[in-house]
Amino acid sequence: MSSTSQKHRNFVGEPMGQKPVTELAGIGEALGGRLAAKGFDKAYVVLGQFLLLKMNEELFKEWLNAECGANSKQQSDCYNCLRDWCDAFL
Amino acid sequence: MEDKGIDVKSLSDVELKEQLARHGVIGAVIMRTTRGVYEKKLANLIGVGKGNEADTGCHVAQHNQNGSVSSDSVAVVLPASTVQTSVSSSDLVSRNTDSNSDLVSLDRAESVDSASSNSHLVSSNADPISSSIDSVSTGTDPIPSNIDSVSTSTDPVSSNIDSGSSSADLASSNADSVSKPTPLYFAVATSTSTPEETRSSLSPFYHDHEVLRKAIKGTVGTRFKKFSDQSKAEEFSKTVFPEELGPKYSLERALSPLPGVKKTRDKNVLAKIIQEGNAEEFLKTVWGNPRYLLGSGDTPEIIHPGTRRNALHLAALENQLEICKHIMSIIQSDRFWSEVYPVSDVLIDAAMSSNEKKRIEGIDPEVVREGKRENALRLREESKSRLVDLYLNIQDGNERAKVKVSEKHYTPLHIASMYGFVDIVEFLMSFPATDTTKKDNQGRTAADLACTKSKSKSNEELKSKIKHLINNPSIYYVPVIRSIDNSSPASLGSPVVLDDSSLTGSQSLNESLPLVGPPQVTTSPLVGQAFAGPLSPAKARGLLKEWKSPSCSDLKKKASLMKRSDPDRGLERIGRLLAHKDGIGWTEYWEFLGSFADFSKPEGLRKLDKHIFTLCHSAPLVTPSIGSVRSSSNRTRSRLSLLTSGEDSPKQKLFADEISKDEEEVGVVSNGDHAHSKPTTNESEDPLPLVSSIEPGPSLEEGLERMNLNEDISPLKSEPDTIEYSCKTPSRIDKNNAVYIDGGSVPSKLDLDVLLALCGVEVDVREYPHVYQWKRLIESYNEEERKQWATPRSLNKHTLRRTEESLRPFSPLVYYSPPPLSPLLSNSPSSARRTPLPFKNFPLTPQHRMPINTPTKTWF
Repeated sequence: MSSTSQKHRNFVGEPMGQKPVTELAGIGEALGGRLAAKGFDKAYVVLGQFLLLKMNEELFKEWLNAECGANSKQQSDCYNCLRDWCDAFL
Repeated sequence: MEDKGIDVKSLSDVELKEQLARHGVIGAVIMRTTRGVYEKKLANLIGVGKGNEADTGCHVAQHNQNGSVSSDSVAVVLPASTVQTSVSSSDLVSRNTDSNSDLVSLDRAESVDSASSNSHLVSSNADPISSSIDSVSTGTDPIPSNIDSVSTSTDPVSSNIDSGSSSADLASSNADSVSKPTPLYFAVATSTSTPEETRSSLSPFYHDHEVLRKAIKGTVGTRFKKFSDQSKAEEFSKTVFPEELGPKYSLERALSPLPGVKKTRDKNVLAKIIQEGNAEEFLKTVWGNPRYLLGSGDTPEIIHPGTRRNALHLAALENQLEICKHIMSIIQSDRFWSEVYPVSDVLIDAAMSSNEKKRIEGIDPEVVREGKRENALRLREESKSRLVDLYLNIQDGNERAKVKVSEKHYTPLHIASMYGFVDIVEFLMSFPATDTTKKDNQGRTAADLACTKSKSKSNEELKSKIKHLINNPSIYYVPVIRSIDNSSPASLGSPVVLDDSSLTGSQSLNESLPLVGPPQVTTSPLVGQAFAGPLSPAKARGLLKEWKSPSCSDLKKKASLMKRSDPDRGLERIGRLLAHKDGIGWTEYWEFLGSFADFSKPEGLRKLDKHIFTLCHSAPLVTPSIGSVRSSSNRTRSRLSLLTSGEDSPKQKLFADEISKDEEEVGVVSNGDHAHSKPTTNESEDPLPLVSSIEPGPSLEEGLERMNLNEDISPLKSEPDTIEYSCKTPSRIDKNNAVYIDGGSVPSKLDLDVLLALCGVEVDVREYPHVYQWKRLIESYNEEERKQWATPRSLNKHTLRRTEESLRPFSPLVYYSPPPLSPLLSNSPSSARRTPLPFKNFPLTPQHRMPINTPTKTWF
């Protein structure tokens, strides 16, 4: 099993504060740009969405795909990232 | 469109929620942002969603992702059947990562002119290669292959050369795209470990790498390279590499039965435990899977991924001393390592690759196993010390991380110092491996950061204490340890930390010493008899090694002679020699002084001088109960000394010394305690026979004679003749008037010891008149005589007896100096009070020197 990415570890390691949405694992420049255009400019906004969807993996991934066209890996990365963050800080 | 005739999109939020609830999705929050998702969900649930989300799963190969394939420099041969079709790159990537380690990288495109031709060999039948991964060196200098199209990769070269055998394996569909094939030469170079028959069976070069692979299969240490030039290939094939290259790590290392802790969630659990300081739970968790403390590559496991902090960082951050101790003790325990890397025959056998087994055929398996076991244990030791070092000094944060804000590069010491956790700092500093010079992202050391984030800002005292702790790391001393009653031979201790104060004689240490339990008859208290230092930890270890077995051969001989011939001070003599040679500070305990001294230093000499001086003058005063004859003579002498002590001129002073030495001698003789030191020892405590039994010393008659003489001159205050005598005939040493260091009237081993300690030191007669006198006196004896001198055993006896008398309880683990010595010394005004030197634990945990100022603490 491969380990988590550096980006993931960086994100999960500390409170997200004012981190931009691109700090989320799986969200790069392109997806981040799309998300920001829709108002999800900060990581915490995505977190809000994540929480609204009750941390449901399926729904969140679905949403992410619909919102910015993330592929399945990006969806998983982002989901895992937020879930782990919540495990640590919620 | 739905069985219920509901248009999902037309539902209101509330209705949507109801519908969802009906389908098992309870409590959905319908909002603008979530509505879309829930609509879809509902549609799915109802069964309406007609493959909206259906991903074909087969992505078209994206060329821009091919870089990830090539970056692995693993060549991939596509099975012929799939070559023609477009293969999804993601598929390729995943396969690549799975079989990453199983593939031998072969780069065969080097000499092909066409830039677009790229070779990709997939060894989907990776078994033969994977098993011999350690034996076949990977292809040399893999050039970054510029893959334009994975799907069309071919190997025109091989297919041309050996189309018969390889065309089945190799894709050749697009071979025509590459026009001119160049013959390639694969040359094999062997290593020294290659068996001879294998070497001779190899041909200078091969045209086909498949053939080559078969030829060198299972041969350790061979490497091959391709050439376009035949002569170069032949040249290369003659090369013999020294030994196997590459990491020596054998496979048994990789076989840890414990899975690593990968889940952030699990780590968070541990982090929380550390935060709470729940030592019990911590131990349970860590022993449940020791991998919590050992990450991949035998480095500390990162418990807090974002800041890349390990368990010790976190414990330091939370001021959990208990946890810190546990961490350090666990990673140093054998149990930890044997759980992580068990050494068992089964595993060793399992770890051996088939090739290796073939190689060692015919050798007794037990021998092989033994070797492997040793190797594994050695590796374990190495990793242990490395891990300790890493835990203490690894800095958090990631240097390559983009966000630099959180990358502080703190060591645990930084953290503890920053928050003002003195205990943690102290604990961390007790490890020799702790590096205080590590700098954080702003170039600050741990000491610089002291208390910067401390909650109690006003605490200057705390700050200075931390700074002191950190800034004085090199106060390590190599001790010579002796039991006070000489019941066990002296030994060298591992380096310890001592406060300066303990050497200069601060009394507080004595009081702070924990006194535990009744005296143990079997365990004689040990004291640090001598110390070399201060030194840095590394130097201390070096000195210790040198001390134990000098590297220089003639010194070695000398040292072993010293050690054997002189059980009392042999070790000290060697140490003194070494210390002075290297300019290391040296100090040893002299019982007669009651303190530590180095006689090669002015300070030490002054002490010695003072001692001899005091001995001369105070001797009569310390003989309160003596026989009538002696008491009268003593009285005479004290009177005399009173008279003479009023003199100021040096000459007269000398005279006075002469006289008082005389007194001293008689006084001590009559004391009786020191009679033991004489060669013709009489054990009786009765003073009279003792006095008469003194053989090498002055006879009683002589003494009395002199007494009378002195008595005669005493009223004259400064008798010219005597002054004349003492000044004009300095060469003539009056042994009868001599005073010896232990206060006796005959020279003892102690005198010899001190003389040896003085060896090579120029004693200035003006500055240290007494020492000078004494030295001349001792030097007047020849070697043979000196050897006859007995150890002043009475001192030792006395010491022990007093220890027991005082019923001073002590812990067998605590070292301390014996309590005050003979009454003679303790009464003498100059003898400093005993300096106890408690240091704990260093025989137990040799790696740790315990800070001496916290004797009440036991770390483990």
